[in-house]
Amino acid sequence: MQILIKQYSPPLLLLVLLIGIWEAAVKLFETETYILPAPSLIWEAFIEVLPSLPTHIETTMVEALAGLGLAIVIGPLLAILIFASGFLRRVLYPLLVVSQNIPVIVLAPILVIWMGFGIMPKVVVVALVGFFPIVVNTVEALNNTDREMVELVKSMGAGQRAIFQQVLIPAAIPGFFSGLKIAATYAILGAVIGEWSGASSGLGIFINRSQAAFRLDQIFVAIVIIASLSIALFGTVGLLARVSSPWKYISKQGE
Amino acid sequence: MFTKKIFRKLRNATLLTASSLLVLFSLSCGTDEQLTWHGQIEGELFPVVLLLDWTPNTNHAGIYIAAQKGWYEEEGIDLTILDYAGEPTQLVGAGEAHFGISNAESVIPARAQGIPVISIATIITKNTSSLLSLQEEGITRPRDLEGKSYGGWGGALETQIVEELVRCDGGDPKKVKFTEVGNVDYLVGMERDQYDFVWIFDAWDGIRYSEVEEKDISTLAFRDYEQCIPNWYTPIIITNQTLIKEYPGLIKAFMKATARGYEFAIENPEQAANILLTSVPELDKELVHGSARWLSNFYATDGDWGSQKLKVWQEFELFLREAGLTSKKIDAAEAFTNEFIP
Repeated sequence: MQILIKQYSPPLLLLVLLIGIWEAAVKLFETETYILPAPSLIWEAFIEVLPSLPTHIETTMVEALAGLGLAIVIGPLLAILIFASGFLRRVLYPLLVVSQNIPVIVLAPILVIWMGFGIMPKVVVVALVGFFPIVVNTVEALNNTDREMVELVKSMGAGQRAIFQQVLIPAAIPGFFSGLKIAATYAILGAVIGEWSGASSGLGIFINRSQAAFRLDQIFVAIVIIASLSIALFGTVGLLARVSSPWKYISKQGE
Repeated sequence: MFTKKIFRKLRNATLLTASSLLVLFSLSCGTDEQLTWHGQIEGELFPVVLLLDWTPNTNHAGIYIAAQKGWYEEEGIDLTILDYAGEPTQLVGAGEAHFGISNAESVIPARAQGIPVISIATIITKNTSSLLSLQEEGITRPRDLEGKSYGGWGGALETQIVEELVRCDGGDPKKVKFTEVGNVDYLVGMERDQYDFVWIFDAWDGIRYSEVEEKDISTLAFRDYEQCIPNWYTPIIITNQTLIKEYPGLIKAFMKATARGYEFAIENPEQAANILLTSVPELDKELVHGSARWLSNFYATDGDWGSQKLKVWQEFELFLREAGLTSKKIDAAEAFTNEFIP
């Protein structure tokens, strides 16, 4: 508990201080709401829109999680393919890089034309944003596998399956999770952008509607929610990483 | 390499999984059934998709009213209204949605490009756009725009309309400066002198500036200068030409409920605002009520709600063509139909 307080109190204090300065500055300079709303006003807006928020949050979270799920399936598969074959690495890697350079905002409407207005295009946007860091980090981790360890296990009579299970998978897991952390950070944003190409609920829809109604205070509410959800997702992935590869964290603590 | 040996099997398995995933995936993406309509079947609702032009507002009040009152269900339609951050003309033309909210300046060039869309109703009879400036700028007639700078989206139609207004009032259109503002709050830009006047929609931005923010503003309404620039229909409801040919019953049913919704909005602006706010609680209450009251006098100023005139389409088509805003001449009579106005 004390460790927790020690770790989290400085950033929290800083946050409170910044919000205080913000509130005071807006009051002092009598800034118009449509330029910068005061934190107290954002809080009021939050209370006001609270009843409609759960639907929007649910839609976006479902899209983000489904997209991440797809990325978690596709990412490691691609990583294994790339790691296993020099030919595939040469063929796939440039394509993967290209896939990350198509602006999502351009791609989303095209996905809608192909897949309709359901949840699918949003899920695909999230997956497209998310699979790349997973692939890159997993491949990196596989490439950095301790070769001596492989030889050692081999000399002890391990078969291919055993080498895969006992050496390569454990070596890949930390890489996979650092990729997944990056993917999780961008998942909510991906879903929000996906929603701009046609939807009836979601945080992206909430933002657009608030913008059209000139409600800057509501837009700030959305920003805070998106940030909180992203932090929660990031934290969950971090926790999963700790549980699934404890050796990495134990050795760190010992250092 | 040790990897090759170990992974040959694994690779084959993965490739197989990946390719079957892809096949499954593409199968699940089919949207073919969207454009079928079998008439009203007892107790069975037909799913219909309507795309908005951006986000819900009072222009769409009649549709939200009809949806909430269950009038679409009465006609056998299960309507989904979707926010769409773009221009739905192309998607309606591609058959991805049954109906869309659009405008004449999109439909005419789209038809010139062979996109099969057609306007089945105009939501507002007269163009309710204006040029808005802060009162301190002293802009009271189009000629005053000389030497002022316009903040817009950079569209060619904007430039054309502004220049035409200034020229028509005896000013020199070359003396107007044009800047792009993108999707930023105009009020901020005007108060910081980034630009002096902007293009607004009276029923939304106009109400916001005068009633909600209570700013001293002056406006030049397009409808006051019809001797200079033509009227055009915006917003309008569009559908797909193939859909009309094959399922006129669907269009008729949809329009019956929709017209009923707009007639309700004309008679009961306050209730209309409340219904819109229940469906879309993110909107600003004061703005929606002010807008609904204002618009109730503009939905149908020339006969039945929704009906369109050939002359208006012809004049605007000519205007767009002379300005080089549409590629080739189209038959204005084919761009719209009053057939489905109940």
